[in-house]
Amino acid sequence: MARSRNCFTRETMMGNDEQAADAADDTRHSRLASAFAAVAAAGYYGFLFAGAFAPSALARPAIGHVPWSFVLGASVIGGAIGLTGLYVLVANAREAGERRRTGPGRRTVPAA
Amino acid sequence: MNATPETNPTAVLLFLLFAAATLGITWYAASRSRSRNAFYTADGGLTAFRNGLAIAGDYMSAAAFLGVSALITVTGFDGMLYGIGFVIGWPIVLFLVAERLRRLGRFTFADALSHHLAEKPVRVFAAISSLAVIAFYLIAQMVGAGQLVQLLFGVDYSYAVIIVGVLMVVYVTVGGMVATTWVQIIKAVLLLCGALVITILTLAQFHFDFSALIDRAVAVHPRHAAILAPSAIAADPISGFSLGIALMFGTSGLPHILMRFFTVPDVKAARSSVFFACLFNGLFFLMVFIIGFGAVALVLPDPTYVAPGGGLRGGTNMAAIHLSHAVGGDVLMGFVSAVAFATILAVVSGLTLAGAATISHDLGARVLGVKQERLELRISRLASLGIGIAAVLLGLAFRNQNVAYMVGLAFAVAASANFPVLVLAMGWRGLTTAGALAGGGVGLVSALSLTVLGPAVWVKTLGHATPVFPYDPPAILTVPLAFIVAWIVSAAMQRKPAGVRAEAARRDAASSRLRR
Repeated sequence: MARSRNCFTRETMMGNDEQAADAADDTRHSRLASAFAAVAAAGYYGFLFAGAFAPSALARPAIGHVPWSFVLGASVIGGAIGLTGLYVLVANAREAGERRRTGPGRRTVPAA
Repeated sequence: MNATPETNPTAVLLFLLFAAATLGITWYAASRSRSRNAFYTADGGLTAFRNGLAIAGDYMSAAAFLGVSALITVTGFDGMLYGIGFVIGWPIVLFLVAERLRRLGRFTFADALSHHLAEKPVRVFAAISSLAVIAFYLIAQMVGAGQLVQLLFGVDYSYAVIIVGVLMVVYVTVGGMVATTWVQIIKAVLLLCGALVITILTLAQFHFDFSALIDRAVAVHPRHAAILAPSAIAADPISGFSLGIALMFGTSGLPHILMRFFTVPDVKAARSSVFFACLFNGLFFLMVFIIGFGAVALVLPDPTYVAPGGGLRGGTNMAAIHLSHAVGGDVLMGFVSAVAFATILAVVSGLTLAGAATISHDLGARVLGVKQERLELRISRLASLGIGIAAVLLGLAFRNQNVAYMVGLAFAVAASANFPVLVLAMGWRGLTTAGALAGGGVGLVSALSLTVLGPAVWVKTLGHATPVFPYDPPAILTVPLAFIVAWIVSAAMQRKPAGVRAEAARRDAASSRLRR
C-alpha cells in the first residue's frame, strides 16, 4: 500500500492550525491502517505461498492427526478476527483521545 | 438435477414462518421508510452489532454455505482456501475502506468517489460497474435459488425463481433498508444456529475428537490423504494467487456491502460493525470446514446419499443438506433447507436495494438532476421492481446453465474496477477524474473480457478446447492494471481544471454541513 496523503480533511470549514493537526492525525491513522492491512496480507499470502509451494509440508500432522493446513488455515481466520478487533480498539481509543484533546465540537459542524 | 423432489414438511413450515415474520417486519417498516434517509440507510440508526450481523447476512450466501462445503467434499482442503479468502476480505474492508467511506458518503459508495472528482462522469462509471457486479451476483443467486428450492421443496424451478423475485421486491420496495436489514439479521442468526447445530452433532458422532473425524475422512475419500493439503493452487499457483487477490479485495468493492456502512450513526460504529461482520463470518467458515469434512466422513460412505450412478443425490451442492439429515434426521434437514432458502432471499434483497439506490440516487438524483425526494424514492421503488423482473427473467434464461463462474466474475469486477477507484479516490489526492475513469474502465473491461476468455467461461461454458487467457480469475493482472492506469493517466493530466476544483470545494463545504 503506497503511503498517501488523505483527502478527507475538512479544509474548507477549518482554520489552518486545525487543518494541519487534522491532516497529521489522518496521516498517522492511514499509516496505522496500512500497517494492519500489510500484516493481514502477509499472513494470508504467506499461507497461500505455503499451499502453492509446500503442500506436502502442510499435510503433515500438527496436533493429534489434525494437519498443519487446518491449524494454519484456522489461524488465518482467527488472525483476521483478532486484527480487526485490535484495530477497532486502537482506532476507537485514538478517536476518544483526539476528542478529549480538541474538544467535542471540532468534528461536528453545526448546520447552517 | 434429476433427483425426485420430496417435499419436507418441516422445511415448508419453517420457510412459511420465515416468510410470515419477514413480511410482518416489512409491513411494519413500510411506515418508517418514507424518506430517502430511511429508505437507503434505515436513518443511520442501527447499532454496530446489528449492522455487523446484517453485513454477515448480506455476505454469507447459499453459495458460501452449500458451495464451499460441497467443494470441500469433492476436493478437500481447496474448498477451505475459498472460505479463508471470504474471511480475509474483511480486514481489508476495515483498514482501507470503511472509515473514510462512512465519513465521505451518504447513500452509495459513489458519494465518496465524487468528492474530489467531477461528479457526473464518476457517478456514471460507478453506476455501470456497480450494476455489472450486482447483475452477475444476482444471476448466480437466482439460478442457485431455483435449483435449490426445486430440490429441497419439490417446487418447480420457474415457480421457485418467481417466489424469490416477488419476495425480494416486496421487502425492498415496501420496507426499504429497514426491512432488508431485518431479513438479513434473521437469516444470519438462523444460518449461524443451523451451522452450529450441524457442527456439534457431527463432532458428537466422533466423541468430539476432531482427529478421529479427519482419520475417517481420509479413509473414505477417494483422494485419501490428498484432501488434507491444497492441490489446485499447487498445480497452478498463478490462478491460486489470483483467486486470493479477487477474494481479498473484491469484498471491498461490492456495492451492497459498502452501502451497509451508511446505516450506522458514525465512523466508530461503522468500524465496529466490520469487526462483528468478520467475527460472524470467521466463525461461520470455521464451522463450514467441519461441516465439509464431516460430510466427507459421514455422507460419502453412506449409500442412502449416493446416487446410483455415483456422486451425491441431487448433486454435490447437497453435501451439507445430506449431512444435516445424517446427523439430525428429517427435522434438522428441514430446518437447514428453510435456512438455505432464507439465505438466498437475504442476499438478493441486499443486492436489489443496492441496485435501486444506484439507479435512483447516483443516476436519477445526481446525474439526471431529479430534485424532489419523493420522486427519487418513487424511481427507487420502480427500479427495484425493474431489477426484480430482470432478475426473474435472467434466472429463467440461465436455467440449466452452469453459473458457478458468475460470483467469481462479480468479485473480479468488484476488485478490479470498484476497489482501485474507491481506494485511490479516498486516499490519494493526485487522482484526477480522467485517471479514475481510465483506471476503473480498464479494470472493468479487462476483468470482464479476460474472465470470458479464461478457463471457466471459454472452455467449460462455451466448449472451446483451450482458454485464450490461462488464469482464472484474472484479478492478479487486472487489479494492478487498474491502479497503474489510474496513476499514469492522473500523472499525465495532473492539472485539474479550475472549475472542477472549485466545485469540489463547494461540495466539501456542503457535505461537511450535512455530516454529523
